[in-house]
Amino acid sequence: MNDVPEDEPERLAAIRRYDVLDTPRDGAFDRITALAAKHFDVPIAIVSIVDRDRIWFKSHHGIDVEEIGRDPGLCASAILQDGPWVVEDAAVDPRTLANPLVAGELGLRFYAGAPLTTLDGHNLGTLCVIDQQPRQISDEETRTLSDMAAIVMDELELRLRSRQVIDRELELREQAESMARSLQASLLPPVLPAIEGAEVAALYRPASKSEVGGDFYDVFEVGNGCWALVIGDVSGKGADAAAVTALARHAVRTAFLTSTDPTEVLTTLNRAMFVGLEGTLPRHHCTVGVVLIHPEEEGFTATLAAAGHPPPLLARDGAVQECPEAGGPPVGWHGDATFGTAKLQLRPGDGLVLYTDGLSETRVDGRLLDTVGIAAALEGAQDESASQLVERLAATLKGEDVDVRDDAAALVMTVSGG
Amino acid sequence: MYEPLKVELDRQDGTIRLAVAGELDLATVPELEAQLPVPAPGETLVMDLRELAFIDSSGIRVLMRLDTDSRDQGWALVVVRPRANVQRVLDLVRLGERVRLVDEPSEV
Repeated sequence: MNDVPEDEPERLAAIRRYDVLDTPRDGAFDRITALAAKHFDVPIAIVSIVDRDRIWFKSHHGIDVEEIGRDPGLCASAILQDGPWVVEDAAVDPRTLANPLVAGELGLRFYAGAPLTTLDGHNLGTLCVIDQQPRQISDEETRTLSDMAAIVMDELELRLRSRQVIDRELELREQAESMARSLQASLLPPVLPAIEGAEVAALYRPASKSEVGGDFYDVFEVGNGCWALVIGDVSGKGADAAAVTALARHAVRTAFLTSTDPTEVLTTLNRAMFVGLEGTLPRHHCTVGVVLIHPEEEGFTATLAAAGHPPPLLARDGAVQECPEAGGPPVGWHGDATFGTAKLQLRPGDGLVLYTDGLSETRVDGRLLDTVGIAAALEGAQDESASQLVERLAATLKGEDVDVRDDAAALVMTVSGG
Repeated sequence: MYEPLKVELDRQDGTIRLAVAGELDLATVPELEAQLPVPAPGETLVMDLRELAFIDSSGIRVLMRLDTDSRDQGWALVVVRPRANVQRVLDLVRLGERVRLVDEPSEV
């Protein structure tokens, strides 16, 4: 007699799919074996899974064994059947005489096993009842055993389904996160450029891994040794906000091609947020901070302009102060917007910190970080590099009691040679 | 630590007063939006922010949208000035250049 089912490769694949082998003890299956032992009045009941070269017990009532060899005669033979496999006296039955459980210490005499059959027809193992006395079993009792085996199978199916649902959800989440990551990456400069006499570094912390945030920053040369630092925050999240973010970032770059006046750049950007967008994108507002950096004999002149964006912070000689406010309304709100500028001399050792309100609106211990909290994080910094200042900011966003509800971004420039 | 949002609405002869107290942020904006009235053309919506303890950018967006809607739909928006810390945020976006600000609802 052949000991291996014809569908053996598919059957083993099915066992892997149900992922049941070597899992911990489990109340649901233990209840079924206890019930089977009681119902059939036998000392031993087992839920077995017939693996490639062993028989592993998902549940074993009345016997302290986890697994046995795949010897023919009992479970290994039961899974070759379409229905229950019954051995009424194993000691005299030629099919089972040689099985170690029969010939060995256990002295098994009676065995009845019903296969655990999957929906697609593979027998994973059995629910079996065992006695050390020979016994007889009626047709009605074998039907009950099959019903109990079906309950075991229902339980396995249920677990498989829930695992599949969870796996699918994890997969979808991973897809969404990966899409958000690539989209986000396209909205931020992959590498910040090197500015002679200065260092720039940035911090970006999206509130959600699976949604694109609306914060952006950019650093680029505008000619004559001048540079633009830009930071912005588009209202909302997701694909629509990302489209507006891309528009804003590119509109600022394009506007700087024809003008190095930050107020003109913001006016152009504001116009770009309205023109031709009717009906194509939902209305989004965007706050933007622009700093034009002009190199001097020593240090830089910074021209600040903002559209509803908080003024940058200036870290100088270990102290931190807010830069003069150069205001205007957020872009994308109304067409009458006008913008002002403020000028600032940056000296060697100075650090200029542009940030979005996601950073200042971070809650630490339930309390708003606020501008004061950002300033506190930077206080005492003397002649630190831009990346060191960014590290100080990043440290405020770490810890269990930090609640970043919105995307947070910061763009830092330090003047070398302090 | 968080102050819950409280919204009170009363209507009198074409003037709708909406008193907003507590904290208006990402978490509470949906609550406010759910209670926002839709004024008819010619009516006035008075956003009374005197008891507003905090506003963040998402709260500001609500005000900007109300301004846009009021102009599109032909009703008037008036804001009763909040405390200094909240007023500072309104100033940052230049709300006063666009929306009428008053100190008391009785001025409307």
